[in-house]
Amino acid sequence: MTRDQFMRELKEALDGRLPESDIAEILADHSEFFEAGLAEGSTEEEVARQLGDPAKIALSLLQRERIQEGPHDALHAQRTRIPKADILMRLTAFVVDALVPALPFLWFAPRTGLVSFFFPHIVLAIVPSWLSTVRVSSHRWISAARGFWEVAILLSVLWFLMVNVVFLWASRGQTLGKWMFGLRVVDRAGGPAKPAQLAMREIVGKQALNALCSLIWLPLGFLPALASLVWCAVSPDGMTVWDAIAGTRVVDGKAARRRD
Amino acid sequence: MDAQMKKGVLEMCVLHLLAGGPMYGYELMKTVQEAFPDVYDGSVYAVLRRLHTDGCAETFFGETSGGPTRKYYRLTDAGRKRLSEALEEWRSLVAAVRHLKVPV
Repeated sequence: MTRDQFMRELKEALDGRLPESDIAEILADHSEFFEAGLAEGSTEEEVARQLGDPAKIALSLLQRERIQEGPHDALHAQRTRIPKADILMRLTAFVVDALVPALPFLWFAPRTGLVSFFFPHIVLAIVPSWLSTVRVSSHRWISAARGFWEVAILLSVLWFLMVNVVFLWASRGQTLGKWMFGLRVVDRAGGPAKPAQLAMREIVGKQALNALCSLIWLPLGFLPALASLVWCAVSPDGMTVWDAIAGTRVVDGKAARRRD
Repeated sequence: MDAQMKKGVLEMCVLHLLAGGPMYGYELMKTVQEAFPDVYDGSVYAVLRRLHTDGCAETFFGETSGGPTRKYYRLTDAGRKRLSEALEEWRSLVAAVRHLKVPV
């Protein structure tokens, strides 16, 4: 095998399986091995033979990375070893996280804001009437800058829908409420949760599910949260409805670090 | 060689070689492969990368006489500690095997 062949096969075997920067480093290292071998008078074929099969090299590197993330046989042990986050902390964090998205509404629609977590579709349904209020209002402040208030209302809705997801993405698993207590959303296996899982947890597991339930019958909007509270209290790893949907769980980051 | 056993022994050998002074990757790989002809396909390189990410070895770029710059690996204090732990473990393993009068 020539050097070019070797490098190409190694790159193909690693592409998409490791971070770009790691792959670049691995390729540079192997390129250097060829340089060193050639400088000692070996041929490209001899160096390639000595280095081994690129596919197997890639495999041993990938295995190593996987071991760092937590090998499969250690999954169960890890799951039970990570302490369950305290239920009161979870509940308080939940209340904070349910209110933060409603912050922009609390001053002009406090009642809607307070229950917006359970009935998210009401917020969306009410937006047109807020907008038309802004357009026709003769209030001095509003009539002076109608465009500003329209934008403000739309931004508030965007905030309502996305603030927790954005927090989760930016901090790799923490919302404001969770950050206060050092809680973190992780993968079921204990590894970092994927961005798609975090979005799934908030948008499908909370907003869409609550909207669906409350559209069927308004009080049903409380059901997922109540079910989650009970489930979280009795299950050994503090499960909730939205964690089940997203394949995640919440851990006490501080307790996990103390254990290490 | 059994994969788990090989991994531990290889790591110990690489740590020992590095304890003798900095070496560049290809040099290390060749030295280990001369002693263990059935070790190949990136095993030594994988050990090196692990030692580096674990903070047991640090890298620096140095020039060979007249040659191009190469990435050298050097043992850190954590690496020296890991080596002495590995040696201790290895010795107690050998002692246990000897105790059972396994002809080694």
